Amino acid sequence: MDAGVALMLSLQAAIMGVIYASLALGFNMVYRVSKSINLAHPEIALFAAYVAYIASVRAGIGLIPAILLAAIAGFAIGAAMERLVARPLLGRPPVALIAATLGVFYVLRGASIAVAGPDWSGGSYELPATVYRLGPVALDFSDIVAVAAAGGIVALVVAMHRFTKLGIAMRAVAEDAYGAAAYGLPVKQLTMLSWGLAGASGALAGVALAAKAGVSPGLDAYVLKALAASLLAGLDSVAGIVLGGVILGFVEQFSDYLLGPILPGFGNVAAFLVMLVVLLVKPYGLFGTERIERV
Amino acid sequence: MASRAALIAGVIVVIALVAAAALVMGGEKTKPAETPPGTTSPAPSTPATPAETATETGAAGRREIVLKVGLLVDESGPTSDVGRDYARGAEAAFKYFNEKGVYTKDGVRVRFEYVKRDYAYNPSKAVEFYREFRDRYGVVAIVGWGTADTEKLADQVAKDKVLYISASYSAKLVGKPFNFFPAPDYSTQACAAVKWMAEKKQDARLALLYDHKVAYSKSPIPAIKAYAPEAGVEIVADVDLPLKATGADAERAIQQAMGSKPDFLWCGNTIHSCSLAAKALVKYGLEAVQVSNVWGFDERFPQMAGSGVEGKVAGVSPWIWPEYAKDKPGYKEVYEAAKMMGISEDKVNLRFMQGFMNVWLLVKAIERTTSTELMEKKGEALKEALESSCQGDPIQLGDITPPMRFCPGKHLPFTSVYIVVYGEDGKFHFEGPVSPEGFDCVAATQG
Repeated sequence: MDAGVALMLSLQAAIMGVIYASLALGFNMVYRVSKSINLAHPEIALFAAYVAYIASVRAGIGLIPAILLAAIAGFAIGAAMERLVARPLLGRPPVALIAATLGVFYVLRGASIAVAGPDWSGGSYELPATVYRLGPVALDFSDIVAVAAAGGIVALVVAMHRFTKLGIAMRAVAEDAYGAAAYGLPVKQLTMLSWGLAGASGALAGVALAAKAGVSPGLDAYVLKALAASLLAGLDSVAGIVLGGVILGFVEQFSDYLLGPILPGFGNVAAFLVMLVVLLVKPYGLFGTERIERV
Repeated sequence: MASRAALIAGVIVVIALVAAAALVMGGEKTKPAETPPGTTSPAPSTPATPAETATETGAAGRREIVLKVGLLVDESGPTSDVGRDYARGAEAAFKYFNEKGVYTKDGVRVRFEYVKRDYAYNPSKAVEFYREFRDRYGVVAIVGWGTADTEKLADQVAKDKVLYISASYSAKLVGKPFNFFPAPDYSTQACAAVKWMAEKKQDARLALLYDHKVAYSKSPIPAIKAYAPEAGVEIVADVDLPLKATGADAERAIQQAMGSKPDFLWCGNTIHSCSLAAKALVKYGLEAVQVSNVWGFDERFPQMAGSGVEGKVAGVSPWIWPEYAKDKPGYKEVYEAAKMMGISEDKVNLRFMQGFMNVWLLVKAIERTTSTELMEKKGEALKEALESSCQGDPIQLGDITPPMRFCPGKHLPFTSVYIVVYGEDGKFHFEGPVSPEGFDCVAATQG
């Protein structure tokens, strides 16, 4: 592999890595408060990508208002899921909630088809087609939009968790809900807010991904792959997600380039292999909290 | 209390969003399929038969045959990018021919009653719907769609004697007794494209881009690999490009292909992923021409691929596209049907025409059979009617197709295609017709 190709792949890997990190955020935020994986998260991202596409391209309201609309939709879906699905299942085994979110996955997929209508098979946001070239490296405007949006989401969420009272309260609820309630924190509302923010971040990440990859039914597969980044970082770590995402981006790009000719489509499998390896070797991820249970 | 308010607000927002999205969709709503009465009733225990009804027309009582036909389409799956318009074209054709009147050789009117099913490109679902068509509705013919499902059902339809006209032009269907399509098979089309490449550039280098897991995409590959050396074209890369590709997938595929410095790319998928590949080709400045399979290139391609593809993309088409032959026989009927359905002229495209053509081929079969044969032999009568073109008069769909002959054991109606080039001037140019003479691409596919 020559240096030019390596540079080109590295750049794309970094861009995809940041996008994966933003997609993975939603998984981690939900896991922290509900100790469960939200399998509907990929469809929230997909649904939001279509909402933004229909609003900006068909209704012509402009991309920024369309993105806001998508974020509101994501927040509403996330919050509604907590209230209507997660809360009634409180105290049940985590698998019950996981199964329920799988049900929501299909409901949202149907909703995406209904919203997209004739454009279900694909489209793209109306972004300038400018391509910036520097030697072997090529970047287009959609790359820049995607990485800026995805990076922005991650930075915002991490900053909120670290530096705001609301973020500290949410972390407290995630750490010990009973203790937080004893201190007078509105646990139910904060849990709902966490789900809502996870939905909103998923929606924005979905739009960022769609800016780079186009709006298509295949977007949800990327969000599922982002679960590997979550596991790599540790399901209860928010800050570690960036590293998890970037590692995943590099694994995917380079494995596909090097092994693709022998094993077609290997890049798409690589993420899930990473997931398997992490679960077997380091089940709490690189930055996750190890829990030791005494029996 | 606060959470309840938040919940109510959330639900209201979701409902409002969905409603707003539905309002702004603005896309044309396709008319629901005319399903026969009783579609919700349980499947009958005995197979149904085509109903023969006596209807009064004018002063004299005239017999009329009601022909049940299955319409299997992909309107929501990975090939819905081309499947929706195909389905619309087929539905328009059923309506158009019902209105216009279809008559058997002995002057008995035949009216279509079709049942549409969207199988979302899932072969298992197709098998399920096929059983429903056969056992519940007693269809005599099916206007179908994809490669994997059509190939899977080919032996069964032969056993059941159901005429099957597909949108898949797989070479593996050429020898199947009850499978027909009004086009050269994919392999012959692809070989013609390779021949065109060889004519354009000596010792041309070709990279293949297609979904390695999808029957349709893989269909012509053995023929391309067999014919390329004969034509003086070297295959330098064989890259996986998912049918449901995203922009990122397409970029990765192009990056892989770039390493082998190709002069041409063959894109074997549908228009969505082929247009993304073209977009990536422009982005990375690859100096090559991408030639797409028949389902990978149509009027929408430049708009989908974005600026900069002028002179860099082409596609295979066995027919002149409707927009370029509006006033010619055959094309006129396509536009009339669209008008009847309330579809504006600008919405009439190649895919719409392909759907229309498949139904028209069924009409041609009816016109070549008698009412007695149709009632007694059903699908077999239609098959024999089409095969009568082998020695007798050829079948022609206006000026859309050249004279077509379907021979028993070889349903390959013609072998020429156009290479549609999107030129530097931003216009489509039809080059050809090109035909891979002297090489049996069907045999190369069937091994």
